[in-house]
Amino acid sequence: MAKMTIAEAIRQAIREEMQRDERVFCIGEDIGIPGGFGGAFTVTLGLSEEFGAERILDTPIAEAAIAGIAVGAAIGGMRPIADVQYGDFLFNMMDQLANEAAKMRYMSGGTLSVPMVMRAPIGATARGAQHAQCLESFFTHVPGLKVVCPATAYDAKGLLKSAVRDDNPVLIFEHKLLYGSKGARTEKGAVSPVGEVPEDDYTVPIGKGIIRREGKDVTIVANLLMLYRALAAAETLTKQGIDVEVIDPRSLVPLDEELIFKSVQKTGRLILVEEDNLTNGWGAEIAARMADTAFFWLDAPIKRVAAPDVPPPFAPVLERNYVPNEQKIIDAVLSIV
Amino acid sequence: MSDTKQNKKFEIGTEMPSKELLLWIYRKLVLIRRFEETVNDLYMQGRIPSTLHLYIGQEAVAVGVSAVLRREDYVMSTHRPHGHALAKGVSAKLIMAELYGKATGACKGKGGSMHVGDMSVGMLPAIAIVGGNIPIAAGLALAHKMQHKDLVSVCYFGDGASNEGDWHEAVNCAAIWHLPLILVCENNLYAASTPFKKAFNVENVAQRASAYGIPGVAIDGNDVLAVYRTALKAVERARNGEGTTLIECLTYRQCGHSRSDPRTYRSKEEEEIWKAKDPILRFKTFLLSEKEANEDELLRLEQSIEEEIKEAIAFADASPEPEPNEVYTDVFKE
Amino acid sequence: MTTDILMPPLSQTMDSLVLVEWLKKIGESVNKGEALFSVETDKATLEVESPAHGYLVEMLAQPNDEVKVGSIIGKLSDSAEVKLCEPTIASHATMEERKSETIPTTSRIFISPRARRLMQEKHLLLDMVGSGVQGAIVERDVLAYLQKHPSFEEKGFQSEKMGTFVPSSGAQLIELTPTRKAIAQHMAESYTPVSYQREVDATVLVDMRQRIQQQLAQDEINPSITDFLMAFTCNALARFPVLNATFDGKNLMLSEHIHLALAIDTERGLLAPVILDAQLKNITALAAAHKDLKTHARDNTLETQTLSGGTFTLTNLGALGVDTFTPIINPPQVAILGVGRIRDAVAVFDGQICVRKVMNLCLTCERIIDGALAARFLAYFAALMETPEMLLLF
Repeated sequence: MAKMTIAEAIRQAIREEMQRDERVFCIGEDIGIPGGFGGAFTVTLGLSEEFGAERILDTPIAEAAIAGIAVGAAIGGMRPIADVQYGDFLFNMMDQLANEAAKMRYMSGGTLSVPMVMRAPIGATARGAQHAQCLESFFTHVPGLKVVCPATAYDAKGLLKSAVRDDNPVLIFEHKLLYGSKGARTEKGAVSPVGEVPEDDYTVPIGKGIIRREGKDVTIVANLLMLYRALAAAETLTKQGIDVEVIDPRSLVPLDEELIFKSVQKTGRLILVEEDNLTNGWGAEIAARMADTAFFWLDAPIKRVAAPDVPPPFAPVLERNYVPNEQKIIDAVLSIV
Repeated sequence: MSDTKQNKKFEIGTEMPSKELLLWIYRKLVLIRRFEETVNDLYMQGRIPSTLHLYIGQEAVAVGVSAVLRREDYVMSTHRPHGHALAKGVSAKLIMAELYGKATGACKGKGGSMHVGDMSVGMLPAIAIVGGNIPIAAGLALAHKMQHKDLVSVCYFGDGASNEGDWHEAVNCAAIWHLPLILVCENNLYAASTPFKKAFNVENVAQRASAYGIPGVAIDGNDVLAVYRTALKAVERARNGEGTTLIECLTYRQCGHSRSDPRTYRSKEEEEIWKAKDPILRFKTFLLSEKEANEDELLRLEQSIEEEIKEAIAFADASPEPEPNEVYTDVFKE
Repeated sequence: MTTDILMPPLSQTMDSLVLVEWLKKIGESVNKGEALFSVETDKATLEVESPAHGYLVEMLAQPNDEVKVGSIIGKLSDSAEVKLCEPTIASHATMEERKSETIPTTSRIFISPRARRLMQEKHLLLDMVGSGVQGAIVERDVLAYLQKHPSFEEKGFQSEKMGTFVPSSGAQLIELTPTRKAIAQHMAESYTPVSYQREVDATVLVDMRQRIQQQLAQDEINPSITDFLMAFTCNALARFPVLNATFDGKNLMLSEHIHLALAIDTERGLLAPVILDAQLKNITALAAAHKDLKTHARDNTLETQTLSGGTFTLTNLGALGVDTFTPIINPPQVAILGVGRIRDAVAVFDGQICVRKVMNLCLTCERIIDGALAARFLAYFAALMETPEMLLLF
């Protein structure tokens, strides 16, 4: 067991996978440059010294190429771990992800598969609208892509490994404020959860959520940074005698619907919390599913807490009103108990 | 400061294929031509559910390139893939059944005309997003390099694709990493209905190669031997670790962009000029005049092609449609 | 009908008084004389009684408001109709709040799916304003009600040997709220039930019973006359299902199940515990159930729930020497069959004067039951009694 930040856990996972399987390699911008920062959030720091520049492959600023080359390499028998520096840049490679990576297996009638991983840091961090978007929902809507979002060091290592070993394209969304990056890359306002991470080989299955806090009055499903806001809100609400159950979905596609259903069956109340814009967010999808399958167990309307339908603003006071906070979650709970 | 290996001047040789290969080439040329003409007829008869992008007139490119490739080398194609597929060795039956949307098709009926392929003969299911296949072909080449195999990856694309962002990003990456990639541009003078001059401020696509530090040549794409010799050199370079080559094949599609194209943006005169430069006609003339083959041999080949195509149609007709519930399968590999 | 709640003149000196708090919630019922709100005067904080029975439907003053004596601070209503939105005071009402303001006053009751499911399980229907969003009845409201009215707990429907039966949709039991009960009572009072009498020849029945008894071992259950009568009742009710029903003053609810209430003499008086699904029991089983009830009755351990849920009552006062009487219906049942003493009497039988055993039947029905039908029921019952072999057919 070792205490690790999320960045360290991901790094460890990449290292172990690259040691275990020579087909695994990393491809992205500024990930291996000697003397560099090991990727925008230090995750690949030190890996090029260990594995060489060929396996920690730096690219020009060419997102579409990063994705397309990862697709091609994966079809050709490799296991690429590609990344973008900011999740917002996924839009630059949208065609390769949504039209090629996601569809090639289906279009080929199952004769090939695309075992690639794409990592993307997301979340608002006072950098302005184009370096702040949470955008899982754009990809949960694409059949053929798997989407995961680890919020703890344990899950970060386990899910990265599962993603590498999965024979399908997997997007891993990591939150900038949860990395625990140190030194020059420290993020202001980071939560930086440090967790116990086993040193041995283990995986966290894709498609399984986890109950972070048990309760009987309300179910909250929240991912990444919002998980921590929800847990804080739950603590505050116990003082008002309200017992909140908090679920970390960990995987958005495939989704652990069963876990959420059982929880709603128990509590009768459901709130979805995400940092993405409200309309058509993944919260809306879960709300629709539960309104369907758990209808007769609901004691109150399903609520969503999300960022408003605006681009992420810069000024701290505006960003604070954009990113859902503990109070907004509490207000949502109080509106339905 | 560039590597001298990469900077070696690209010189096309004068190799003559063996008689066996010459006949192979002729058969492939005619097979593609007859296949495309036949599916055109079938489409007009309403027997094929989808639109088609026919390869008529461009056969020399696919055949000339495929003649130098190994079975394990990969080719990546476009929305106009039938010629590339047949040249690489995908069976006419598989393609026909796919066009009919049957369960026995190359993609189990799930892909259609623009996505035919067969991994077992080195043809990837084609990509219909213009420009989308170049990064993937580069990725395949990267995989070959990382696996220390001396295999090459070929990417076919049209003149129009070389204006796509993906093209530039991918070519640049291929160039900096010296990937074993052959870029084959089929410049048929039109991107859908847009003529070359409207979309380019340069004379050839091949000129763009120097922007990325790779060799680029423009050749007569309707001369199958020219294509053969150029491809041979490019493949040799690639297998030797010398990197990527851009081959621009000047050619012409005698048919429309797709089945719903009346070709009113081209003049009849232009079409007639290019018809006279028909690649199959030229090659047949060459074979007969150089006494590499006689009329009977060629006739026998042509008859066997008619048989093969007939069998393909019968196969497609007799094949079952996919089960409706197949719509749910093959999204993920379990 | 609404009643105004006024700020009372509790102080000699003050024109206005402060409302401290409401002691009831919107939608809650309150009785006349019950404490409804509290008021602060110069001297003390006093509780004020409700001026009438009803439901609190409107609060026009809030805690800490200073209100002029004599002004209206709220309203009572004798039905639970309530404005389903509270006026919002916030200056920037959210979209949701504004939406709820446009919901028109309506007597529609909102019930959350979870609460409705629970009500269905417990065979319950509530009409009240709940504590949930938009005044919806939610789970905790149902649970609170069940705690106050335990007779509707599910175990009341457990049949001794057969497990739990859920009445089918055509046999839904509906709990009467206080309002409805009052209505039903009025209806019941305004109707005059009708009684029908018939004398029956019980000779064959008595003889049959004796012959059966001779065949039974010491420890085997020996069915009494009442047990046989229960079997006849079930058989007859199958033919005349309209008598196996409940009536709430508005709807007649026929039941597929015969939950037979049997009058039993106890210390507390004549009680009528229910044998559930009597139609599924043979005579031996009915006898066993009967014996069981008598034991409980004697030991004073009859469960409260066993006394409710009956669809028809059979009452035999013959053992107490009564020849004939007019039994009274147990609402919401629609009928009751009373049976008198078996006595020797001179009768004409087969053209001869002889002594036969006779017994009186008396059927009391709600007026909504057709007289001819009631008569036919008795005729059939008599036929069963006089030719008990008929039971072999069923």
